[in-house]
Amino acid sequence: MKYLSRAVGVELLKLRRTLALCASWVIPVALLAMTTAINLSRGYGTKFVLDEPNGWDSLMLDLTLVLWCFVVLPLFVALEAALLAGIEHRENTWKHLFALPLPRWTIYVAKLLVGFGLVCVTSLVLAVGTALQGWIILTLRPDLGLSTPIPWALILWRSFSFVPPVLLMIAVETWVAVSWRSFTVPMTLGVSCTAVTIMLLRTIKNNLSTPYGPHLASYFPWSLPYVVIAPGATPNLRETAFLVGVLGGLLASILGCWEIVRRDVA
Amino acid sequence: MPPTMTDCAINTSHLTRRFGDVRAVESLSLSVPRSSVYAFLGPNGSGKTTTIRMILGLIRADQGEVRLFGRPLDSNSRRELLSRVGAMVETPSLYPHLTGFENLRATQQLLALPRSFIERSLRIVGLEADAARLVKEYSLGMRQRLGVAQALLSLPELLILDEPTNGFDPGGMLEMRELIRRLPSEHGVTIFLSSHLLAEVEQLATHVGIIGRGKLLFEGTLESLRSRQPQLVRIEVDQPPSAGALLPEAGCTLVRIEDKTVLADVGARENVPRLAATLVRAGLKLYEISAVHASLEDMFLELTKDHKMAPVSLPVEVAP
Repeated sequence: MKYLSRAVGVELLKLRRTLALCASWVIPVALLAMTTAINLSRGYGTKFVLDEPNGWDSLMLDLTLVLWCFVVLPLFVALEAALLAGIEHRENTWKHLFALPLPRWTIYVAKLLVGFGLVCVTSLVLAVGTALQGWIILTLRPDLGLSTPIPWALILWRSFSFVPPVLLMIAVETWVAVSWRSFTVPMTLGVSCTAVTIMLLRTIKNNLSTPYGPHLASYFPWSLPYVVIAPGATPNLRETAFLVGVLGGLLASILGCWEIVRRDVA
Repeated sequence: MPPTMTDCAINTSHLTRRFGDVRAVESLSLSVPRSSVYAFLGPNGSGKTTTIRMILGLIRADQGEVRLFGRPLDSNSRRELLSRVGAMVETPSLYPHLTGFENLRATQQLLALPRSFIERSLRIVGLEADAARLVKEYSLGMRQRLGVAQALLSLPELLILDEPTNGFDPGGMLEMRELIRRLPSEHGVTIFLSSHLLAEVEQLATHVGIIGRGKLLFEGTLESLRSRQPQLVRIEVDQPPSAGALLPEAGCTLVRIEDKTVLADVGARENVPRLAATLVRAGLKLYEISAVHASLEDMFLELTKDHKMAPVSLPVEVAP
């Protein structure tokens, strides 16, 4: 563990002055700014009403988290994986790292952990931003039906509940980003799989009873975060997506480590 | 007497690596004595970098074995042996968005070395004043020096430098040469230095290994390399073709005729008076016989003239 903690510390040092660190707060802030504007421009008479009394759950699920889990998070994970691996690809620092007297797997696992940590940062930004968004709506549009106090436990739960199953997506994207020098490979994978996700998740959102749609969505790495929070998903579907994301993520991480450690360093 | 395995910092035996059909390194057996400056020479694409990567465990050998400090390099010994090695392979492995200090801090932190080692390394390579600048603002020479500082950070027993003066201007080359010259005497470091620039290593190396097309063509001290070379003389005469024809009579061999002179291999020093007598006896006007000392570059070119090849690179676009 001492080697891993050192490797994680160095990964954090390497994040200084990088777009990878900047993106982890800029992207959720940009999304929150957009959804705040949309919410403020809602027509008079509309209200945040789902099944809960004070409107905060629908504030999150109606727009911000749907967009986040549906589209932005898969693209963010692809971007972060590409940027984190790009730090090493740029000057081919792999050869230096892998010639050091350290277990090779620590270098790879440190990248995975930092990638996961950056997703957690975005969730924290989303949680704090949602509270701020609610306060702005309470102040400027009290007619929308939000009420105080701010339900911090709910906000934090919603913002972090989809994070564990993201592990599978991070493991796959990190392996791809580390394996190919080109920035476009992990990004193309992220964009393509997001498109597939959109097709799969329409089946859940519209409660369509197609035989494969919802079932596949709970196994497809890029759709797992949305399945976990989707109002239209059954508890069984959510549970499957959660387990697939976490256990599949651990398995994919181990396989990635095993493969990278044995690979020749060009 | 050749050094034993325990006297050697690096030993390779029958090291072989192929990339597809290309044999990058073939049955290479090296012995790098401790505390030496070993120049590993070869034309571009001769297998130098591939050999270094195998020595560092970055790529696997198809056949053969690498020993460091007398012990085989394998998955059990890798960490312990590499902790005694510092390396710069091809280009320095640096993060341009970090400062020079932060770059060394990354390695220092990974190796759990005392923080004071960073200052010491910067001092050795003369970069203390620029440590706070971002590496992307560094000149090529400064980057090379920082790469050496990174390799030196733990003050290893063995320093492996792959083409350390690549891209240097003459001033930078001189600085790097001075730095490499100081390290064995001041810090007891064994240096394994690969280069295709012969003139620079001639002034540094105690031992030389010459590789061509992945095969070892020569290994030994500089003196032993020189002693293997033909005893060349340049003969200035009025009729060079006639002189060339008379050389066998004096036990000499014609190398080539150049304008008004003849280049000959006399074989042994004792043949020089015999040669002079033969030429004079034949009625030729002999103006001068002078010894020709081959530089390391001449010897290198002679050894590798039949072993040049296209550069070999890993055939895949994937990393690491």
